[in-house]
Amino acid sequence: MKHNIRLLMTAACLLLGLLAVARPAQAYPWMLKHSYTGCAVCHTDPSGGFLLTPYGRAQTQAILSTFGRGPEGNEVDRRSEFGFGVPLPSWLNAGASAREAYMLTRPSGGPTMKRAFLMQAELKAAVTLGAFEVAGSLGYAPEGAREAAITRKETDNLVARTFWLGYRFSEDKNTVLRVGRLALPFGVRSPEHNWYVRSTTGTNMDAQQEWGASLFHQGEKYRAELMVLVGNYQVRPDGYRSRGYAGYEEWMLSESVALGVSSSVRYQRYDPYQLTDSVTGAHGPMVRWAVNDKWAILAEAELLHRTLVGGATTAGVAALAFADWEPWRGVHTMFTTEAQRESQLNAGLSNREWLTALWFIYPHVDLRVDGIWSTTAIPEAARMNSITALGQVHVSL
Amino acid sequence: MKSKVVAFVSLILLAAAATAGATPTFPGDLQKALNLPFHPQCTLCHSSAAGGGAVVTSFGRALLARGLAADDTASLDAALAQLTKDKVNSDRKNGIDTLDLQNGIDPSTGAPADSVPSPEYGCGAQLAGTRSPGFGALGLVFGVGLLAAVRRRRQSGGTRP
Repeated sequence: MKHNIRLLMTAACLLLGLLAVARPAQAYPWMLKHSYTGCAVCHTDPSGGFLLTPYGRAQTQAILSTFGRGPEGNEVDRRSEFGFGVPLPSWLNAGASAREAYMLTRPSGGPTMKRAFLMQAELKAAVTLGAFEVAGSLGYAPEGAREAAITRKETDNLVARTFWLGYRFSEDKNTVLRVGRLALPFGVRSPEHNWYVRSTTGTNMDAQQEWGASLFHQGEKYRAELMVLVGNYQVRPDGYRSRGYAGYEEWMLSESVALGVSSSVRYQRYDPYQLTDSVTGAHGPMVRWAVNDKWAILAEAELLHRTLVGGATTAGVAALAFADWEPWRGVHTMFTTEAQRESQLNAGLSNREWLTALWFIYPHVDLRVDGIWSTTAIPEAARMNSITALGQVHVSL
Repeated sequence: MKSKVVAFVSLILLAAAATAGATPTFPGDLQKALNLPFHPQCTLCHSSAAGGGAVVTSFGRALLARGLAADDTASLDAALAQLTKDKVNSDRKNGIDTLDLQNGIDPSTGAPADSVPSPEYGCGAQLAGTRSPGFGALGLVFGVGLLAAVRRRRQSGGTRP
């Protein structure tokens, strides 16, 4: 027994230690074109993102990357594992990610702004003990992401975006109960945290995770997750915490088409726009379609509403269409168009077009370049137009 | 293999060494520059209490029109000086914008600027007379997890040979 307690304490200390050293997780909904309808087989978070499972890691070598294949083609060796093959005990899963970015933005009529910044520096770990799982991440954010911070500075903070205690009701991951700080189960889960359908609905994986409890369940032809939000306890005072629910259900209409709906309603004492009591919500459909093994299409639309207590109700909309074309293995060209009208008075229509090149060079390394054309409506003012070029180098272990 | 691991750990450390701008310091810089009795909200210029995104308020746009640049505290000081010189009165009532702020008034709306407490982020900060729930709740999650795991192993008789 003493040994068991020591083992558990060692596991907990190792997890906390890993967390104590070091942005958002990865999730690729276009993997549907490789016949992966669900997410749980490759990701520790059953709705997608966070740490890759050992099977998910193997797929980075078997189907995701251009180089680093085995001598016969698709077989997997230890290069896709943590640290290119650092042995880990079976109860421990670990990972690390660093993403450096260089951005050029040219607003209409203004000078070009250039900046290099660290997008992500994060360690992640999960300890599995029987049906229980303890998982978490700890990273460094030179700026932003303050909703996920565990230190209190205006810049250069340690961030804990995600952590949970989970319980699996069966050997497979078909039913999982989790409590902790979780990515909201809502819409298409994707690393593009500033898509309108993610950031405006408060459901991105950058810093908009919330504290709460969620129940995930998947069957042969569907998957669903419902989360009760108890508020983000990394923000004070309590009036800035939102409480309510978020959830989705997605049905596999065929091996190549998935159709889903999402819904979220939250109450907040200090509405981020009006600083008064408000109830906000977002509801809408999403679709994923693998046209063939080279093309995948995603789309999502959300009806937004905001009711100020004792005041008016305003409605808005956020919508997205996305196409991924993989002409050669590991090389992706992506086209995205999105639009939104926020659910606040005098809000105008904003829209963006993205052209993206993403290259998974080798297991653990990928490069990405985005060109973004944006026109943003500003209340009581003219529109603000801009062109942005964003380059990223992403290294993971 | 070892050299590959070392090379990638080095890459990560190299990336971690890079830092970015300091626009989040603008509320504190503004408080200092105008000697305000309160810490201004991000909503003085932005749509969200968490800051970031486009500058949407009249006051914020007036500063931008006078040379305010992201990550540049000197440009904030210069824009504020020019704003005062130009006698900009964004809400067209009360006084000029900088005077409004010093009187605790949001210069864009004319509403009290300090009636709502500013958000604080991170664990460990304490409101007067209260205990931060941050680490407490985090500890609770990990504690419950450990206890449950110990209990389960005990029930399943999982001991080391």
